[in-house]
Amino acid sequence: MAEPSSSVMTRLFTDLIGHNISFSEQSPPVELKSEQLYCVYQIKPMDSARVIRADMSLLSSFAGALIGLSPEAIKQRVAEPQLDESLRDALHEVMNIASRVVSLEHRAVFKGIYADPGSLPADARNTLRDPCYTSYFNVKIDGYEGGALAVLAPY
Amino acid sequence: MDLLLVDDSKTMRLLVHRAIRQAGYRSLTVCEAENGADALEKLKSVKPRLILSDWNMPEMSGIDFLRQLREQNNLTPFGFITSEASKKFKDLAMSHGASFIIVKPFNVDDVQAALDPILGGN
Repeated sequence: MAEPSSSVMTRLFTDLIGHNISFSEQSPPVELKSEQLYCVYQIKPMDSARVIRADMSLLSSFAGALIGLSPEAIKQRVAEPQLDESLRDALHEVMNIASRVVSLEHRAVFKGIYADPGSLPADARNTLRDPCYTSYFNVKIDGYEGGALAVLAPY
Repeated sequence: MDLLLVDDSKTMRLLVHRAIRQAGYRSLTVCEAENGADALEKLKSVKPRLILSDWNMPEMSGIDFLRQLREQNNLTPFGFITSEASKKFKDLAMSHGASFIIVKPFNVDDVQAALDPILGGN
C-alpha cells in the first residue's frame, strides 16, 4: 500500500476546512477515544475496501469547522440523540473529499460512514478486523478538538 | 438568473456560494438543484449563464446531466466541481462539452479563475 503521508493529509484537510490542521504519524498506535466512526472506501479497480477509523469528536470538528460552527456549538449538536443534519451532511462531504488521499495510487470511492463496526459491509469488516497495513495519525485542528485517525488497508 | 448550482450536498452548495461571493460575484443570482434530473426540470423555467455541477450525485450524475443537456442542444457553459481529479474524468468531461473542472477542495482563486472567462469578471 502507498500509504497517505501526514503532509498529504495535512494539506488536503487544511485546504478543505480552511483552518490550520496538522496530521502527525504515530507509532505505536495512538490511543482512541471511546466513540469512533468508520468511513468505508472502495478501491478501484480491485474493489477492495479501505477504512478510516477516527474519533467521532475529531470528525465532528472537521465537519463543524467546515460550515463555520464554533467548538461549543459542535459539542452541543453532537450531544443530541440524533446527529444534526447539517453536521451529518458536512461530515459526508469531508470524508467524500478525503477519498483523494485514501489511496495515492488507485481511485477510492467513498461508500459511507458507520457508527457500528458490526454494520460495515463484509469486505470493510474484514479490513477492520485484520488489516495488512495501518497508518496512524494524531490530528490537531486550530481552535477545535483534535483526535486520532487511522487508515486501514487490506494489503 | 446567472448560475445554476447542482449538488446533492447542502454543505457543498453553501461552500460554493461562499467562494463565489468571496471571488467578488456578490450580486450573482443563483438557482440550486440537487441532481441532474432536478436541474433539467429547473432549466425548463430558468436560463442561466453558467451551470456548475457536482459529478457524483444520486438519480442522475453530472456527466449524464451534461450529456442530456447537449442532446437537447442546450449549449450553456458548463463546469464541474468534483473530487474526481484524474485525467480520465477530465477528458470525459471535456469531450462532452464541459468548459472546466474545479477539483475539491477548492479555494477562491480556483473559483475565480474558472468563472471570470465565462461571466466576464466581477
